[in-house]
Amino acid sequence: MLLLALGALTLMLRGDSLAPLVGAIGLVAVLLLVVALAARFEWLLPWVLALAGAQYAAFLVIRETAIDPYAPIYGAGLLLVSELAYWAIERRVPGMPGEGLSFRRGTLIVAAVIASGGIGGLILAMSETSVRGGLWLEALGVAAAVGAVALLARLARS
Amino acid sequence: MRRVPTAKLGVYAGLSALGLVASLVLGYPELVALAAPFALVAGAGLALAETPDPEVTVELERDRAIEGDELTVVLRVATNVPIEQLDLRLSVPEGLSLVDGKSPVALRLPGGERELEYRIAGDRWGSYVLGDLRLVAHDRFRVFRYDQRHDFRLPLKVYPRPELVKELLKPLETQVFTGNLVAREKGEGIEFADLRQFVAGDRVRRINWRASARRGELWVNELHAERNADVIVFLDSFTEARRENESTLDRAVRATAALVEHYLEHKDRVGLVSFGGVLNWLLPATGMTQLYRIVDSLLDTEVVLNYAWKDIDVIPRRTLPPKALVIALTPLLDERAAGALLDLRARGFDLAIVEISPIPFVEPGKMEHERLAFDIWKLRRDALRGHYERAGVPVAVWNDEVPLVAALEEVRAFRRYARPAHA
Repeated sequence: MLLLALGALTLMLRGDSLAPLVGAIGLVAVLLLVVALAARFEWLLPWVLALAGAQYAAFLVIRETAIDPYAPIYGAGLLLVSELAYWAIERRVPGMPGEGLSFRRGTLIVAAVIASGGIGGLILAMSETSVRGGLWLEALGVAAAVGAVALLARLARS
Repeated sequence: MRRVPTAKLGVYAGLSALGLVASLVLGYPELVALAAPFALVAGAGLALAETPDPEVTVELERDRAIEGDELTVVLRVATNVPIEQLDLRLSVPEGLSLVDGKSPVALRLPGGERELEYRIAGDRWGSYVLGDLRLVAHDRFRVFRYDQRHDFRLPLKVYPRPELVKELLKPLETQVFTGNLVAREKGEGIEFADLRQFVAGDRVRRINWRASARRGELWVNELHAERNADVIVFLDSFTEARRENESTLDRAVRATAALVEHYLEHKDRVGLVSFGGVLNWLLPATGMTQLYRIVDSLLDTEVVLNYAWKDIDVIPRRTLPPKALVIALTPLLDERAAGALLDLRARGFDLAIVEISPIPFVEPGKMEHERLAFDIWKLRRDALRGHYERAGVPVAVWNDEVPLVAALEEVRAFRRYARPAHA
């Protein structure tokens, strides 16, 4: 929760003219997260993440300058927020002594966050170098988006 | 195991798609970097997910126990596919409790077999079925959940803890079969009854030489026969008073089990009438088989709500043989049971009532009118008890302060000094 609030605040402070709007979206996301955690409403978490993403998109639209180098950090942070929130909400089952289940899970989350931050950075670096790449990369992006939507549809059916 | 995608997988896939589409539409590559972590976790989760198929066995130490006994349940889980986290939930039916071991419990199964040991205690008598086990496995990224349910249906009978009984109530009349009770009738036995003159056919060993020498003619000893008795335990299961883990019915069942066991040890024929919402009876018989039959029948005893008026006419005639001693175990809470007992007495049965007092199970209340109502209720119970006593039926109150032995002694004293008229 603090992490999300920190992210929202950072974006607001970094914003120029419409900073209060960016801040307001972030504030709603934080409040929703508070409600979700307090009431254990798992169904609220997608809205929290979507709002946080929307806040960042709004920040990008308002900012209208060069590529934001902090995007991978923000993305990795959002993943960390999401993983911790899901962990906090799910039903706790006490582990057998000496299993180290929480430690293993925590380690995996940290590893995933670091790896995803790295991949995000790589994507951003590639986007800077492949601005002239044009149509092929655009087509690849469309295919990836379509693939993700198809996966979502398949999951919805199962 | 049944594979179910978690909500997280849907959310991550959706966010990834949204980020990519937004990136294409708005032309911001940063949104791809924003969505990439979610796509990475969803993709890695999908790629690494493998459906586990654990084999589970559950063993119960034994299938019979006495209230308060502890039993070991051994649970074995074997898997070839490593499981990051397996949640095990062994359901313990109400009346049993888990003394040692956790349920639910989470564990990691890298492969091979794992053994878990549980200790369960039989808190209350009854027939139970154990072995309802739910398994939930999680993969590393928690994008899928794997469910499996087993019902091993291991039967467990928890028999009531017997109450201490030292001396049994003796019936007024004995039956015709050999037993441990000294009958009023004369016959073959060892207890001296009377003297009479010798007649042809009398055994020489019966001659009382001292009396014969005094009288100058042969006199023989007459002896009391040793006979058995028919005992019917009348269990009132119309209603009960309950407090947390104990009720009047629990106590009645424990007392019934103890009485039945002792009477059967004395070669008496014992029968059972469970008179309540559901009528249940067992014809009088003797031996160990009858003990198991009655105790097994007691395990199924429960209070079933029923508004139908019942009297003793619904009880089959053979269940209540003539000259039988009827011992009623009742909280005297239901008019139908109270009326049926008076009916039994009116029909000449040798009846004794052990009242399992419901008073310790009832809170008198804090308000004055509540306490007044409580006092009136107690007075009405006293009046009912007096009604029975006037009819020649001893009523002994059995509660927390009085052990069953003392209650039975109270009945015995009543019968000694105020012997009821015969039918």
